[in-house]
Amino acid sequence: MSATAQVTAPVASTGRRATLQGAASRMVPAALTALLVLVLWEAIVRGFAIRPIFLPTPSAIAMTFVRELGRLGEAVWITGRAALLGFVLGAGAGFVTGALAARWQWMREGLLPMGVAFGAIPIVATAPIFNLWFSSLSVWSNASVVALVVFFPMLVNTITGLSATDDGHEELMHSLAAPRHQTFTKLMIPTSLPFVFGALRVGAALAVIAAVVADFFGGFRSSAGFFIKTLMATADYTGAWATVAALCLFGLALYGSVALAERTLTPWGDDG
Amino acid sequence: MTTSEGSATSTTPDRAAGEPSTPDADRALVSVREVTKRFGDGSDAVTALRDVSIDVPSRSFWSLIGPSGCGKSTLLRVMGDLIEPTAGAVTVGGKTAAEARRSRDYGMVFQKPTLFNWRTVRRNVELPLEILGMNRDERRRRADEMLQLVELGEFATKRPGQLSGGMQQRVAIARALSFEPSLLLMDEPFGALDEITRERMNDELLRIWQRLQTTVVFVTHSIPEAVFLSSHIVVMSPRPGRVLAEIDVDLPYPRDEETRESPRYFELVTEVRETLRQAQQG
Repeated sequence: MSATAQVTAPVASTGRRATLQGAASRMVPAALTALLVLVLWEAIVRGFAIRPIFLPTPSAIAMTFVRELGRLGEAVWITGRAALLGFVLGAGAGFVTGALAARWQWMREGLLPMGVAFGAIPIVATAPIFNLWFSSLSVWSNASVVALVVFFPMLVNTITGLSATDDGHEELMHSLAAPRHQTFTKLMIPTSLPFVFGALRVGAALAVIAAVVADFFGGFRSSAGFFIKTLMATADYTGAWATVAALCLFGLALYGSVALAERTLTPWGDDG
Repeated sequence: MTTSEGSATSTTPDRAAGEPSTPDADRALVSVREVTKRFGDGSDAVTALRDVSIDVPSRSFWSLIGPSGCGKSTLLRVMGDLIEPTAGAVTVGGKTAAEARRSRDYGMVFQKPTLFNWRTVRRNVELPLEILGMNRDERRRRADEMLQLVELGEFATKRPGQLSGGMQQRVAIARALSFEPSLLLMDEPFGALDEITRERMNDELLRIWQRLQTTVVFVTHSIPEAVFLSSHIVVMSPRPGRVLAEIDVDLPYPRDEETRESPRYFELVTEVRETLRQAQQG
């Protein structure tokens, strides 16, 4: 909505298909870069005869990955469900708290410092505590660790997003004598969506990290974090790397889902 | 530049309010009584408006014109209950400005289109109707009707970001008119557009105004625009904003390209310009 927009013709609409094609073509450089890194990695490990203890070749990791697919799948599922559950809970709680804080000044003043304090808690410190609170064999323990990590960025972004409304839009709603709840649903929520999705993207990455860290403090023996710990102890380094690769794929899938949802739900972000 | 001394002048003296300004005017819809607006307080206080009184008759098209900082936008915002006057009062059809706003008497068009970019063009026009609680089918019918009126019918499903600036402003006009407010307040709506587009928008606006028979108060700093559109022009002086003169525009409606080339049009443009120049010097 720039003031100097052209006047005669509408800006050419590219359409959804073209947008998806654009997204696909933007992924080509990334895929090529990844391939190049893998080839270089393979070449360096072989060329300098680096021992697998330090760094296995990507091809060895890939073969282990395929061979152990069943066990890796289970490990990623055990860790991933804690990550997903915590992600949903933390994001949901962060949004609701942020919405309440945006509505009432005193809540904002009370909650923001507490939110900052929560955000500063190291995950490593919370994991044993949650293990104590919940059964260490409950998904809720690790999910709580994840939720705590996801909560903070969502709280801050929701508060920021809900108060990022345009002055002109506010005047419009005022001139139409819109009741408060309508201003909230029709103006504030849509304005906040890009911010909320920003927090979801950050949260998706943090969720996987937090879930794996929580694995290290007990819990399920077949979890990905526990798996890595055990494989390292038995000197199966290639197996540990394969587990890392599996977690990486899960993280990418989660992030990709959030990005896809963002594109679908906030298509105006592509407008010129 | 010729002076207007010889021409027949219809400039009325300062605050000659209350007189019917157009032949078909029956009563004052909007009455502004000795409105003063100060911003800030103490030694930093700026007086934006001082003792402004005007009476806008029903179904007329009034323009407020003046140099930057003359308080014309402030006056419009006081009329629309977006800000409160420091002293004085505004009534609209007998109601206070706040009551009028709450009963949805105002359609407002701002300098920026202020469309919701997350809504389609049609749903932007539907917004006031949603707030009024109108049902879905009726809303849609009304919105499409309004979009036809501003000749954007085929753009109903586009998003505002896909339209040009002029088209976005036409959507904003359709939105402001969708709920049939008794008063249309427009704050330099075409200020950001180029001259050619602005003239075309002026033609459109007059056509719509004549069809809907609504009352318009229009803020502008363009003299030709004010003369072409208005039935009555309020010339305002720079800080503190006061009513310097009121000029009746006796050009017959409907107006078109011929109007813009008529001698009377040029006389009126010159008259407004002279009045504004005196304001700058005084």
